[in-house]
Amino acid sequence: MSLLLSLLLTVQPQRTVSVSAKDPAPHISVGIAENAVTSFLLYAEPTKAELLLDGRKEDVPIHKNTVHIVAKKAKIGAKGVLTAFMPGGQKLVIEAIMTKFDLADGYITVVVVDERGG
Amino acid sequence: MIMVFLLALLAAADVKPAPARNYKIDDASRGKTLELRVATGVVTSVHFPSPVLVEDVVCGNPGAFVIKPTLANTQLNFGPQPSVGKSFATNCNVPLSTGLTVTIGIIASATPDTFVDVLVELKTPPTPAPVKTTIDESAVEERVFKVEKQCQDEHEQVLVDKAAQAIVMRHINERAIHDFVILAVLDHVKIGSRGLLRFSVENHTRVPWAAGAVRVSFYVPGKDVKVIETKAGFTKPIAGVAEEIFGAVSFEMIDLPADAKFSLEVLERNGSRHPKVDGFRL
Repeated sequence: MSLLLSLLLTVQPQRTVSVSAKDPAPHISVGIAENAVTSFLLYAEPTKAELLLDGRKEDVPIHKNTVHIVAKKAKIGAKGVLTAFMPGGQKLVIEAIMTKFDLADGYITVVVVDERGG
Repeated sequence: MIMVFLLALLAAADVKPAPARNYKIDDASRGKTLELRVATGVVTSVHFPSPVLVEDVVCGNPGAFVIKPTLANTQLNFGPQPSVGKSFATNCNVPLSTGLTVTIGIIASATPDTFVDVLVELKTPPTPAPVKTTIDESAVEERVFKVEKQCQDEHEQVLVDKAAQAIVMRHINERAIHDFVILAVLDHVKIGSRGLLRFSVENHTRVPWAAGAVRVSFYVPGKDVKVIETKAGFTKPIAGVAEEIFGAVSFEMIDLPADAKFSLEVLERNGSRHPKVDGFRL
């Protein structure tokens, strides 16, 4: 129990990721874990989102501006790619890497900034 | 009823309930993960400060829980499924109607001898009550009156100051007569660079006299007479029998020499009675 509790306290919390408005396909890398959900609050509602994992591509349900990756059982280090098609033609390429529970991202806010960071 | 149920469950599972915990949800808590300790056979309630968008709650291990909303969706009850049969860690993202999303990291225990959260309460800091402002209309009116009065006083003061500097007035009182029509140049007023001559016309004939143009001219000894461009006005256009009317004429004084002598002639409209006062100084 104490081991699990210590793991829990080191779970990566919510964080914010900035992408450039001028980059047609900005790349984001996140950690996912078995039994963990990683949610993305995007700057706009995507028109479509799909997840490529274990060689299979599947649509990801969209809840307003939010999409979620619910990781399946996979080896640590396995990679998946979530692609969110944004209005305006921008494609968010979100690389998801299987990791330990305590290294997984829980909630990520994606914001757009220009190249000067404003 | 819920508490009795919870206590019964706790007794059955032989777990140690942790005291109820309170968390504050505000801007400072953004980016932090709430820890929640649950156990099989125990219902753990999380009370949120605003309604939960239940349909948007997503958990990493959705099959391991029964999540029931209560109290108008401001409370979620987490109950681990006994069928899981082992301890595990997972997380849930709980969006609130306010736009804030609470991330809950959950540790679920299958062992009975553990600490378990029974009630976790999330609170937003109290917002200060808005200060009620009552408007005393009479006070407002009084204030408006004072401001208006102050503006009027200030405006008048400016006017008086300027008048003291700019207005020059002099009685002239020069007269002339032509066919029993008497012209009297009464006063000269200078406001800034503008000059005004006030005059009167008395008709002592039996025929009405109609006012026409007013001609003002000046001369300096040794030089030609110059006519001044003027604008004229009368209290009445016609002076009846034995009637006096008043008139005034304005002109620019910038280019007038100081030693000039002036003449003012009032022409009769459609007539030949043109009284003229000559040789006065301003």
